[in-house]
Amino acid sequence: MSLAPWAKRTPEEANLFNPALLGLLASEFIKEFSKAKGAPCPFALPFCALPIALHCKTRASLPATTVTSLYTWRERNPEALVGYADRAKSLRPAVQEAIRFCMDRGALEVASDGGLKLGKVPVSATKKFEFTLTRDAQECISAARLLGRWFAKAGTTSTILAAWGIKP
Amino acid sequence: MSMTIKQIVLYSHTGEQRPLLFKSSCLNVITGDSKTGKSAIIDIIDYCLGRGSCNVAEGVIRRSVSWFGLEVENDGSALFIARKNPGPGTDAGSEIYVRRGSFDAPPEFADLARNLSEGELVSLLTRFIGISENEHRPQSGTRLPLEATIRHALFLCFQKQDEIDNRDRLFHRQGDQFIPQAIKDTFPYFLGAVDEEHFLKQHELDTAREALRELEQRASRQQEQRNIDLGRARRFVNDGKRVGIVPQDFEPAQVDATIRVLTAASQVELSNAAALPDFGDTINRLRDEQSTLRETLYRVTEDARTARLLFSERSAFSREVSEQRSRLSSIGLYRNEADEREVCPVCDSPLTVPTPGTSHIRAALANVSTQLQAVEIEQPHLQRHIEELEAKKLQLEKELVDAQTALVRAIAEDERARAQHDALLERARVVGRIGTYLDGLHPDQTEQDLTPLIEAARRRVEGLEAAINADDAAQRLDTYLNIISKQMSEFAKGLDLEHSGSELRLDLKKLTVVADTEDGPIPLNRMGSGENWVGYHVLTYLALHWWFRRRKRPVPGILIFDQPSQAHYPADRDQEGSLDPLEDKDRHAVQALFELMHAACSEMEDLQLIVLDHAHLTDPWFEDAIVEEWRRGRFLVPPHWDSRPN
Repeated sequence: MSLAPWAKRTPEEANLFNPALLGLLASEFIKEFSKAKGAPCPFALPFCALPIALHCKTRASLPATTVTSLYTWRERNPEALVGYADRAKSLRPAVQEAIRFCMDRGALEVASDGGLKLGKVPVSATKKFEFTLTRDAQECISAARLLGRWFAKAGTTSTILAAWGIKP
Repeated sequence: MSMTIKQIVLYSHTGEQRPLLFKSSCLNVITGDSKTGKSAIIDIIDYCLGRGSCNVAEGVIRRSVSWFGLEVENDGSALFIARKNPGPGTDAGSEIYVRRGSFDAPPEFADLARNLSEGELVSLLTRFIGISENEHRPQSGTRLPLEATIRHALFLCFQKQDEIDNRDRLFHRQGDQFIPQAIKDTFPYFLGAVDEEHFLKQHELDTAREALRELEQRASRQQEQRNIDLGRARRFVNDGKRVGIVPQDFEPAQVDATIRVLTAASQVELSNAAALPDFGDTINRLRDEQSTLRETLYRVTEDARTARLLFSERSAFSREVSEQRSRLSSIGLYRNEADEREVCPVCDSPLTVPTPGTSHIRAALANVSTQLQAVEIEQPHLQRHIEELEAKKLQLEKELVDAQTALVRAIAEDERARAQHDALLERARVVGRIGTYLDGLHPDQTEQDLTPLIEAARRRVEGLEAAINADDAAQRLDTYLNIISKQMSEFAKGLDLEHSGSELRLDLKKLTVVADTEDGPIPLNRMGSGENWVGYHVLTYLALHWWFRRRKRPVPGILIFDQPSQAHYPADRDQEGSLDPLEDKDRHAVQALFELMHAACSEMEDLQLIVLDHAHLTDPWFEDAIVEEWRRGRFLVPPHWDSRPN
C-alpha cells in the first residue's frame, strides 16, 4: 500500500494525517525514548507507536504513568489489539513519509546504529503552541511522549513488537 | 513440537554469564560429584517457569548468582525468562524479565529489568506451551473450578532426588498440600480425555439449562393466571353494579355466566351520547381551544428541534475542520523549509510518490482556515432563528396553561357537569379494572404458546448432555490409562524389577502404580526395595511422556530425573563415576536403567530427557549424551563468583 501524491489525496485524510503532524509526533516519541534509554530509537518503533497515539480509543486506555508494565497493561486491555494490526499497516506509508519529511528539514537523522535520533534542527511542541491546538491533537502529542518513555522501559524491540501481536 | 529447554544462563553480581546449553529432543546427562549444583537445576528451572517461591538450596548458588535465566523454545519461537535471585534468607522475588524472539546471545546483564509480574509469567507460559482455555468442574461443587496452567503440567515433568525413590509419592510435589487433588483434576485434560471443546459445551449446557428453567417458569405463571377465582369475580360484579354497567339483578353464581356478564360490561362505550350528556357550550369551546393550542405547540417544538439539529451539524463540520487546521498547524514548528522532494533522504533513491513540500501543507492550512471562517459567519442567523422559536414555544405553553385553568373553572361552576364528570371517571376506572382482570383470564392471541419452545429447549439440553456425557470422558480416561499402562509394561521388560512380568497399571484415584499379580493388586508402597521404587517412577514418567508426545498434548517435552541410579550407586561410593566398584548385579541394573532411558529417547522424537547423576557409563552413546561433567573443580557456578571464601 502506498500513498497518492499530495494533490490527489482525499483532503480530510491528507490533512488529518499530514506529514508535519506525524513528523512532530515521531520526533516527540523519539526524543522521550532516547532520553529514557540513552540510545537512539530503533527504526521500527515509531511505526508501532504512532498508530497507538493516533487512535482515540487506544489512547484513552493508556496508563497514566509508565509504572504499569507494557505486558501488564496489555493483559488488562485485550481490546487494544483489536484492529491494531490493520491500523498499523495502513498508517505505515504515512509514517514513512513523515520521517522523510523530518529528514528533509533536518529535524531527524539516522544514527550510526541504524536507529533514529533528533537532527540539528529538531521540532518540538511548545506549551504555547499546544495551547492553540484542539484537545484531540494535544492528546496525540502527550500519548506519543508517554509511549516513548514507556517503550524505553519495556525491553528489546522484539519483546515490544510481540506484546502488540507483531511476530519478531 | 513441544517446549524444550535451550539453555540455563546464570548471571553473577558483576554481570558475568554462565551458560549451560542443552541439546533439544534427546538424552542430556550431567554427571558429577555431590555438591556441584546438580540438584539445583530442577529448582532453577521450576523457579524460572513461574513457581511462587525460589527453592534453590541456601549456599553458594544463592550467594553468588544475581539472576537465574532460562531460554525455552517451542516450535521455532524462543522465549527467554530471567528471574532475580531473591538472595539468601528469602524465597520470593518479584523481578521478572522476559524477551521474545530468537537472538544469538543471552540478554546483557544491564538489560535485565522487571517487565512482567509473576501471574502474567504463568499465563504467558501457559499459552506458550499451547494450553488453551480449560476448566475442571468438580462434580460435588464444593471446590472452585480449576484451570490447568503450566504449573500443573510441570508436576508431570520433574522427579527430584527424594521423589524418584519415594514409595508413597509417585508425582512431583505430591506430598504438598492441595497438590494431589490438583494433579487428579488436571490429569484428564493433559491426557486428552477431555478436550477444550468439552468445557465450551459444558458452558453451552449451562446456558441451555438456564433457558429451559426460565421458559418453564413463564409457563407456570401463565397457568396460575388462568385459574379462576369466583370471589374476585364477584367483587368486580359489585363494582360494575355500583357504576351501572352491570344489570342490578344479576347474581354471580356460575363462573361462565359471570365472565360473560363482565365481558359485556368491559365493552360498554363510555363516550356515547347516552352515557355522556351534554356539558354545555363553554366547556366544549374550551376543549377545542385547548386541542388547537396543543397542536400548534407540537409544531413549534418540532421546528425548534430541526433547527437545532441543523445547527449541531454545522458545528460538527466546523469542529472537524478545526481539527484539520489544528493538525496542519504543526508546520509552523519546522524552522527549515523544503520543497517537494522526489528522492529518499536516507538512500537517495528516487521515490514514486514525492514527499510533500512545506508549501503544500501551508496551502492546505490556508484552505481549511477559509472554510472555517465561512461557517462561522453563517452561524449567528441560525442561532437567532432558534431563539425566536423558543420564545414562541414559551408563549404557547403559557396560553395552554391558561386554557386549562379556564376549563377547570368552567367545570367547577357547573355542578351537574362535575357530577357527570366524576361518574364518567369512576365508570372508566371500573371498566379498566374489569378489562385487566379478563385479560388475565383469557391470555390474548399475542401471548405465545410456550409448549413447543419448552419442548425444543428440553431437546437441546438432552442433546448437549449426551454430547458431554461425563461417563464418556471417564471411559476415555480409562482407555488412555490402559494404553499408557501397556507401554509401561513394555518399557519394564528391559529392567529387572520385582513384578515387572505382571500387568502394570496407573491408578489415578490413589496416584500410584499398581502391579496386578495372581496374589492380588500390589501398589507401589507395598513393593519392596529402593530399586523398584526408582524403576517404577522412571517407567511411569517415560510412559506418560510417550503418550503426551504421541498425542501432541500441551505438556512441555521436558523430563528431568535427579539421581535415578541412587539405589544401586549411592553418592558415597562414587569414584569418578565409574561403575567398576559395584557388584555385578548393581552394575547391570544401572546399565539397564540408562539403556532404557536412552532407548526411550531414541523412540520418542521430541522428548528432552535431562538426567542428573553420579554414574558415568563408558558406552559411546552415553558419552554423546553428556552435556557437562562436574568434577575436578568444575561446578554449576564458577568458584570465583563466590564472594565469601569457605
